[in-house]
Amino acid sequence: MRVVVVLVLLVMVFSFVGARELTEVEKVALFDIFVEIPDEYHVVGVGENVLFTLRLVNLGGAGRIDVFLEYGVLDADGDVVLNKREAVAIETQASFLREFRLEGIPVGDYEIYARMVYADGKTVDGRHSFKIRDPEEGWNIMVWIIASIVLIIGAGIFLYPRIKFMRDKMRIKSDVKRIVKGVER
Amino acid sequence: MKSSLIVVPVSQLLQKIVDIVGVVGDVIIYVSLNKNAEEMREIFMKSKKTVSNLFFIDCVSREGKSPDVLHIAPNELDKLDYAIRSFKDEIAGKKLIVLDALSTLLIYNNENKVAAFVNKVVNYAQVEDVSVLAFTPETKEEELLTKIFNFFDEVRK
Repeated sequence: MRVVVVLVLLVMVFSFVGARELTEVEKVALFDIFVEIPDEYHVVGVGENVLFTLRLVNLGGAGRIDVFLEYGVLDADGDVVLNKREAVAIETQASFLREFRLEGIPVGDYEIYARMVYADGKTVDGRHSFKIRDPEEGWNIMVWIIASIVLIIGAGIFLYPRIKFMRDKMRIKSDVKRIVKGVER
Repeated sequence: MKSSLIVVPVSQLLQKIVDIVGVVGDVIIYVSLNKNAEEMREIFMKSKKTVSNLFFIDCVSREGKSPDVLHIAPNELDKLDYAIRSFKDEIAGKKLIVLDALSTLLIYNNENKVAAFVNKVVNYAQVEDVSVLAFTPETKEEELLTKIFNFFDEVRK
């Protein structure tokens, strides 16, 4: 009887310890990171600011944890053009609104990247692309569109009476031929 | 071939046209500026003058019953000029271009345009051996007459 009781107690103790270990494993930190750029910042002008949000999500839920965050701007070749580092504390999830001033960065395609380093050197990355364009580009396009419209209207005004006159001349010519042939018969 | 301008009092204009055009044996390209083509045809028939081979360019009415008449608005001098040329080119043999009331063109066009039009018609008629007979009622618009007198070989009053 005593042996049975001891065995039952041992089983209970082991199962409690096992359950605790299992819980500890589930609570290991597991992060993901998202870079989000608002629509109005998908295309920005030279020297303007680009605004973005870094959203960090702890999928593991190991409680409050300090992480290192590195974020910046990559050019089309993948070279870092701008970057910053900071340490942040995160429990389940957190969002940070950040901004870069794009002074001296030429027109082209770029990416905002973010990398988080946590626990024993694990990293997680996130990226989102955006464009830097010449602020006069839009104006130039507008000038071209207006010039084209003016040109088309001008050509229409210039050509319409001439085309109409040509058409009328053809009608006159065929009418005259018909009349002359009719009388000759 | 020669070009003539005949200036007559308004009251005698029609009679003068009938008298002169009625005895011409050539094919006539008749630009009617005074009465429409149907009326003119009737006037010629009543006068019992044999007017054969008469091609009308009617500048009075926009459209008529006869399919043998070309209708051109009197303010469209370029088209009128082109129509006269087209008739001239299509018709074989001796031809006469008749403009029956030049001053009517002044109602729809300025006198410089009318003078330029007359000049053009007289010039290509002369080059291509076609006679031109233009009538105009005596008018207060003497300026037009002075501008176009010189284009014609003779002016009869």
